[in-house]
Amino acid sequence: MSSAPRDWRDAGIAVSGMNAADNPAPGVAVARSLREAGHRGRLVGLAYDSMDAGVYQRQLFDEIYMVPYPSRGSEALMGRLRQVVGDGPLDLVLPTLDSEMELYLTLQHDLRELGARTFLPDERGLSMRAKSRLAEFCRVHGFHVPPTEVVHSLESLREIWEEISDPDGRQPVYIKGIFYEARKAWTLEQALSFFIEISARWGLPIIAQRGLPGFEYNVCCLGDGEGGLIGAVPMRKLGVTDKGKAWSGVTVGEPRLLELAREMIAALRWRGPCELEILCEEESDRLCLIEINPRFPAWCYLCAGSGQNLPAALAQVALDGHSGELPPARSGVIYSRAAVDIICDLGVLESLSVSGHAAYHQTTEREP
Amino acid sequence: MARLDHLHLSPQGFLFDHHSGLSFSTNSTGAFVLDLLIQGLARQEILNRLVEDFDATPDQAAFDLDEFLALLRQHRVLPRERREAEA
Repeated sequence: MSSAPRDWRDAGIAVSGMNAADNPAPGVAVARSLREAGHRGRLVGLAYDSMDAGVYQRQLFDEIYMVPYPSRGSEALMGRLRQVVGDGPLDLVLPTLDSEMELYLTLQHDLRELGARTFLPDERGLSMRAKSRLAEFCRVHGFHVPPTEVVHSLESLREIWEEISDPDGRQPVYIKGIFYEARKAWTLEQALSFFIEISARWGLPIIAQRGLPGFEYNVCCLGDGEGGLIGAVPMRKLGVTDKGKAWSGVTVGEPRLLELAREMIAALRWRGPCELEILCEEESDRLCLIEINPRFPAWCYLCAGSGQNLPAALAQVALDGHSGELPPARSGVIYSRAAVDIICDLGVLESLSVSGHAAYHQTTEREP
Repeated sequence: MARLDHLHLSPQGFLFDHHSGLSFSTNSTGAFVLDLLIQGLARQEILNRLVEDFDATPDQAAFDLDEFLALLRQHRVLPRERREAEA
């Protein structure tokens, strides 16, 4: 076990979520934000697939480790993380995928024994914001939410269809998976078909949520775990992919969003990053909570771009115990994604395939 | 009338709404009206300024102004309270 550095920028940090295709994971954006804030310590990418584009970002990562999928369980992942610690300093592990959160929650004490910290929500908070429980959480705490039903079978979907669908047929019903995926259903037949598809991929239950006319905001938040909001950056998507994922966006200064973020983080006593998906209803101008994702969004580099670098703030809070007061995010800052070709030597793929590890830069063992 | 400080208007007529994240482009007359709206002037004051500064009859100016305000409401550039006050 190595001793922690005095400055978070010298810390060894591992980040997951290396997929960087048209529906990217947040890992590359998190790594970029850390480097931009002056992080110069060991930066490790944890990858599930050797063809994830983040793996080849040698200007960001010192090393890449292949890790077992969450479905392989905590022991398999912990074994791999022990190797990461054995090869060099590791002070903070920053998972960025929804499906990893529960796993890392169970590992946080083992990681701490190895000298690596995490900055995660507690089980209660994580469970309260789960897609299957969010509507109930909102009702209890007085937040607005679109009509939502949790269904466990095709039969129950048939039963609630009339109640959940738009009587005028102008809005779809979103059929959502427990972790990922949402499809627009305009008819019961479509809804039943999506139920079968999505539950086969992600399991049960399925969430059926009525679409409402309006537009969407997203807020990247960082909570301190004691009810306080360390920072929040609101954004509106300007361009989306065919899957509805943000391709470009702009930061906004709507004060009600920060107020809602503050209330939400306090109600959940949320620790760590999360993304609020909020709908502004067209007629009433009311803000409705659609989802809370328990990690940084893939667009989180916009936080750094707007002057409030939340990934860096997380590392600082987790390792130094404080982040100082963050500057307010500037509204009117635009981001746009771009597809870039990365050239890499075959040796990297060979190394990842054979040993599950690629080292771009030499990292030194910190003195105990 | 309250100032609309969340609206940023460039001299070229580019408008950015810091609350909604939407942006618009307008011509010089639209920019003239928007500038006065941002300063917090009421409809009648804006109408007077239009008649003073542009070669338009009060009726024509009122017609054009109301059409423009309706367009701003449609795009949610004018906040709800202002929409109600105008109605």
